[in-house]
Amino acid sequence: MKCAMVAGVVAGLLALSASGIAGGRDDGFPDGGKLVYGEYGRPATLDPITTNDMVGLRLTELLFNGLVSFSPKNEVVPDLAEKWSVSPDNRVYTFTLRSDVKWHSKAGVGDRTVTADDVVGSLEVIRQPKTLTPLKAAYELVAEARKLDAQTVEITLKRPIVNALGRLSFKVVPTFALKNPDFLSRDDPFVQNPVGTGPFQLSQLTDEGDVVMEANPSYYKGRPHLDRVILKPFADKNVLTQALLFNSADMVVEVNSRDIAQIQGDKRFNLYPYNALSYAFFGHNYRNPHLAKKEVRQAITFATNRQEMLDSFYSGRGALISGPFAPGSWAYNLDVKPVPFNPARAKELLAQAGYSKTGSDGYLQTDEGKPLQFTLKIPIEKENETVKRVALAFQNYLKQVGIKINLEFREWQAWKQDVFVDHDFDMVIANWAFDDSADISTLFHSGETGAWRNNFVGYSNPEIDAMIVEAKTTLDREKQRTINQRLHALLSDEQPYTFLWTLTNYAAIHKKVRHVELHPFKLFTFADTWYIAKKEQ
Amino acid sequence: MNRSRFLPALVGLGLWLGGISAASAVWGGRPAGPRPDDAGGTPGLGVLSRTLTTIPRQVLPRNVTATPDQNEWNPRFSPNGRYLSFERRNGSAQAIFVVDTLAPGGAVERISSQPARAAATAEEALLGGSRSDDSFNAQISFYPDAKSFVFTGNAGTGIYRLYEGALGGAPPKALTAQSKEDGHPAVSPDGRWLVYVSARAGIGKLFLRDLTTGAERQLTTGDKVDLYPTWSPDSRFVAYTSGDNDNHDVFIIDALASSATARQLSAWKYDDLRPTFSPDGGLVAFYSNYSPIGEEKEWSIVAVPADGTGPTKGAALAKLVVAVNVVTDLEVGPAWLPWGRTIVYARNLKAEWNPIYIVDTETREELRLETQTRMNHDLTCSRTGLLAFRAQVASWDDIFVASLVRTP
Amino acid sequence: MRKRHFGVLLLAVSPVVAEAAAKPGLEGAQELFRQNHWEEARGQLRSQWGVIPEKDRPAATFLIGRSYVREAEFYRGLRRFGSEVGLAYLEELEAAKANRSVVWIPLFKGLYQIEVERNGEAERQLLAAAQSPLPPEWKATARFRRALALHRLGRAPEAAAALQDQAPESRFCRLLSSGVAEPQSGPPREGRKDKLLLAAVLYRAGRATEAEALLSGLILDSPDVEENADPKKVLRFHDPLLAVAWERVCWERAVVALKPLAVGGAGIERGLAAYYAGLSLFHLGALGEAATFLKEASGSSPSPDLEAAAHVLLAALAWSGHPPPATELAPLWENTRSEPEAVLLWAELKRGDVSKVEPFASKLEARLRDLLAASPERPPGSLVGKWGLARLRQGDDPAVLLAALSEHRDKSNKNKLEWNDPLLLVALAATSYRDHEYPQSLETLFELSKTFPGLRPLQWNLQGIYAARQRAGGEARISQ
Repeated sequence: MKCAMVAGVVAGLLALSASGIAGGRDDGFPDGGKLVYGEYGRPATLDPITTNDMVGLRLTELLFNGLVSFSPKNEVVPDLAEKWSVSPDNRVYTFTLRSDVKWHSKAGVGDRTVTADDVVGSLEVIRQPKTLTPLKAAYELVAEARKLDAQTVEITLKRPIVNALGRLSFKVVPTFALKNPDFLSRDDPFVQNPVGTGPFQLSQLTDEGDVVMEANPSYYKGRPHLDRVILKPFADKNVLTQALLFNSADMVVEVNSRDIAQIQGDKRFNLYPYNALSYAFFGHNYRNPHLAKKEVRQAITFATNRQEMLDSFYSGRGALISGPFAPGSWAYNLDVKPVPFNPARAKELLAQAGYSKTGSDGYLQTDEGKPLQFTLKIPIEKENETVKRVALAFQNYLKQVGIKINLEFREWQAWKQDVFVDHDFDMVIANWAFDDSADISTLFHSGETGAWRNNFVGYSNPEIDAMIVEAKTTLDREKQRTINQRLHALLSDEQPYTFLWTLTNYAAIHKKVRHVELHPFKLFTFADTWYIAKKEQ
Repeated sequence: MNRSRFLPALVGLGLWLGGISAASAVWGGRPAGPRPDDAGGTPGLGVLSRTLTTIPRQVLPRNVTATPDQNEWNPRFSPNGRYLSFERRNGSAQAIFVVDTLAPGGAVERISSQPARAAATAEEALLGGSRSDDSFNAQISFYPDAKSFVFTGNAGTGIYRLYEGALGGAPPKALTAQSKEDGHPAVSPDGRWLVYVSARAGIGKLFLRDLTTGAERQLTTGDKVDLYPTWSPDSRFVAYTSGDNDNHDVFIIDALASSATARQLSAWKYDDLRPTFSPDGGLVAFYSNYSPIGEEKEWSIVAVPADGTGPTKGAALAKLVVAVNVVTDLEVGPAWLPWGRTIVYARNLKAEWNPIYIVDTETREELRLETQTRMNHDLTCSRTGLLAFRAQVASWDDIFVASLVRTP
Repeated sequence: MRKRHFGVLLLAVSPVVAEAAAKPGLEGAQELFRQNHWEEARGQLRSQWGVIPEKDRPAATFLIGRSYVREAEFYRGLRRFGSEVGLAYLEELEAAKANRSVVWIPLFKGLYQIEVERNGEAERQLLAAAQSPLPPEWKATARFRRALALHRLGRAPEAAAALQDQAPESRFCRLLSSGVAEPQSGPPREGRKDKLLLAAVLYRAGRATEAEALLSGLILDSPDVEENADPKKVLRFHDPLLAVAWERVCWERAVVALKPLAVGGAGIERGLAAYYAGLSLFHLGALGEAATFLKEASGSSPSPDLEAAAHVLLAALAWSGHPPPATELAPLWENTRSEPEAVLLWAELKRGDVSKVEPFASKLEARLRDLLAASPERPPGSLVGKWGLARLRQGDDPAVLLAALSEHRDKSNKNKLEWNDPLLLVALAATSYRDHEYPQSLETLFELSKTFPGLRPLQWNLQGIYAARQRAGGEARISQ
């Protein structure tokens, strides 16, 4: 009798512990330890709506969730929404939210769970004109979001799109905790003291800018293994590398190009490549009558020894591209080779375009007797001088074929104003980063040439327009492929950009951190599963 | 034009006339004889400090490496100024190279922690032999005899240690035992001591080794990483950087005292990095991301008294900024010239290519050095007045040298 | 020459210290070989053969042969990766409603199923395909390939009956199934597939010169079928048999280069040449000839590793078709187990017969897992590559395997051949694929394709899988 009772109690206790009342995971990995990661620069804000830098974007992955998320296998998986249904016309998405997701426990928040009001509220805050957020353009496709009941949200899109679920992965914020529940501005304390639902919660933002995050014991997937994650901002890239090598940081999010070799030479660290789908380019403004000529644009590309620049300034840490996609993209047209370095050919093309007279200064002359020259507008971060080097080399290459390049350096915000709003430039140098969708529609469609739109070079080609629209609206993947490949071939010929290269970013992480999976863009999406072995904690 | 020259020039004139010589306590290599009086600055507005007047305005640097498709960086001189080292990569492997500045066109010696290895198998030998060097080597520090040196390398093992070698001598040997991580070696000017950073006790702290006896002790304590140690000219003090985020501070410690407390030279919220001593040992200069005009991400050079009696924060420390908007060297601190208390640096001007400037830290006068090179970095000056730096030629970086000694 | 802005310099410049200058002759070729530019190395040796000293010629010959072996191993790894990807791509295509009416999908699915040894499914699939509305030459393909599947299912008489044809494809399938290579050239062939398959047959029949003539100018990267009924949707299909044939050609080339040295050479070159010739013949299924060379190799001690490997191969030859008794396995295992090449060969052969014999199987598994950790020196990249592919076949967790392989990758020069062995890069690409890191896999293949022909089918198929599976919302972000 007694044995049975004891057995029953023991069984009960076992059952209790197995049910995870402490929110533990049953993957067999230990809890404990902290992860210190170093970033170059501080995040301006810590919330997912106003943040407009990559540091902030990565941080919010730790603190927040969205309706859906991605698995390491790139599948869309439930997150705050446990299930969803789609209307036959692919425009109406109905999400059923989990009922057990709690907001981080903070003063004023109490013991609340996520409801439909929070989801609808978050979308409305994003779309509110007073909220300054880079997400606005992405959510312009939402016609309406409404609450059907406490746990059900219905989102209606203006038109069906491919991968709509992937689009609807915005992070949900507790609008009840905002100073003003309708919009979010940078003076709202929330942006420096955010409350989310994610595996980690903000515990402290120190005077020195360290962001200390603790494990969220009530995280709906189970408490993450790491006790604590700390972001330390650094102002100097070499010091950041030294911090890693000398054990003051466990992870560096983006390893300085030059230091990759040194870290690789240290067996304590793993280097993880990510962000393969970005590339650098020179953009040519079609509003300049000389750049509007295809031969001129092509000549510029022939004249530039891109491989040499890649090898020298980036230690060869990438690959030349031939068109508007990165080689790691499914849309890359493998039949299209990069334009070779051929200054002689460049000169031929320029002659064909009508530039054959050379002035006493050594530059080709236009019909007006002026040198053929363009201003290259360069966004310049104070220490990011690699771009300066590229510009210097570029100026030199073009001089060899008789084109004068004047360099103008602008602060990032001022540069964006010039380029995206005033279209006041001849050429620019910049980078695009894409997700898996290979969606370049906003870059080259003629309808995207307005203020703050991505087609700032003013490219306009009805054939391309039609192809872009078809690629976006078809649900047939192979059709998308074919169209994208044709786009690649056409744009490679037209050279609205001189396509440069794709670079590999590396994150360096101490090997003691295990079970590491990195999201190719946001990095920390799966950080709740990372752990440190007991003896290394 | 160059507004910054006017006021300091006036001040400099006053000081000069007042008899304060900026060229007192010169540490070796002083250029011989009096110099012609050369205003240098704007005509009619007085002369530059005596030290600055001894420096040419324009130099024709010599390209020491001239490799058309490789980068070289990090030039460093041996203490006597005769040997110049730099680093070059082959893939991910990096080796240190040393040239004799007195024998231009002469051989370049290659230094690596990984000795040439014979082929491991007969097949390998048949296919052409030795295995390539895949080690990473950096941070060379010469002994005063300028023949021997210490550097950091991993010998391809995945662990960084210190190695010791000699020019033209046997392959370098490991100086520190297998450890978690050792680096940043600095041999004292008198050759008696070696200070370096080691993570053997957890995080990187400074360790001191008596090169005569081999005895070692931990020099610094605390929970922040200490980096970039550098010696005072009298081989007594070590200045270094300490911190773990974007607020590093500069410290100085008496290496000869058996248990010394570190003295903090900077304590504000800005990031202060890589201190270096002036040739007379009186000042310590370091980079700081404090910008007098509040520009984010602009770096300055600050020069403070080495004895720690100067201000460590606030407006008082801000007054000790001697150069603004500088291009920071990523591995060593500001470069002092051997004369007076002058520093040579590259300025991060937006529309220019890192032009080189020389500033007299006492008078705050500056002159711009025309070198016709671009993207200048890693400036360093030997005690004989030989300036070395790296600059971009077409698309690659080469090492350049130029003498700052005026020929009579 | 670069323009200098400031003239004076050239006089006083110290000499360039070139780490790896392009040198002529054998030394230069060896340098190219070490940098994994095998075709260039061979080209240099051939064009400069006349000026290579007599004493260096054995080494030069060995280099040529050895580079072909490396190439064959590379294409072998690629072929298997490609088969897996090809089938997965066809399954994605099949699953999409929009592709329901494409007649090529079932056919090519069957072709790839053979390559991943799903012979039962392949046989049924190809039977149906042979009766579907395909052009006659493709129906023939379906029949010939089905015969191959039948043979592998043990239904040899049925297979033989279906392979009576004199078409190159039929002859090649005969070669694969029964080892028969008839020496006649047959009528002149125009199509790429015919030429390549016939070349492989002729090579095996001892007609190397004619085989090479057929291979001259062949383009490996174009598709076999391009389906473009809808011009906005072009589907490409690639026959995996070409990769099989191409790999065989590499092995054959190795044999041709190494045999003279293995027979008439002296010293260490002879033993080494004998081993690699034996290995190549083994992979070509010429078992008798392989045994001869391997015996020669094991007797001349080319190196402990290769000697052990030779023993493994000889044992496998002896066991052909019969499961080995444990009593024989144990001592052989004891003698060979410490050597990496031998262990990898064990793993390679570890199918059917050998895989179930315990305790050997567990010991092999343990040894394979720790193979790299045991070596004190940095192991050669090709060894790591082979190891990685073997672990992948064992079903290792790809994320963990990727981390292990990445240790051996030069991250600063991520996909560059000069610093990363091509086989290692194949292993990385294959593991990235299994780990769903499609961009990384495609990037690696992209770089490889600049030097090696024949990657396009794999790249195309992998892009298709990625396109089908990606779920991203469509973000484009500008940065400095």
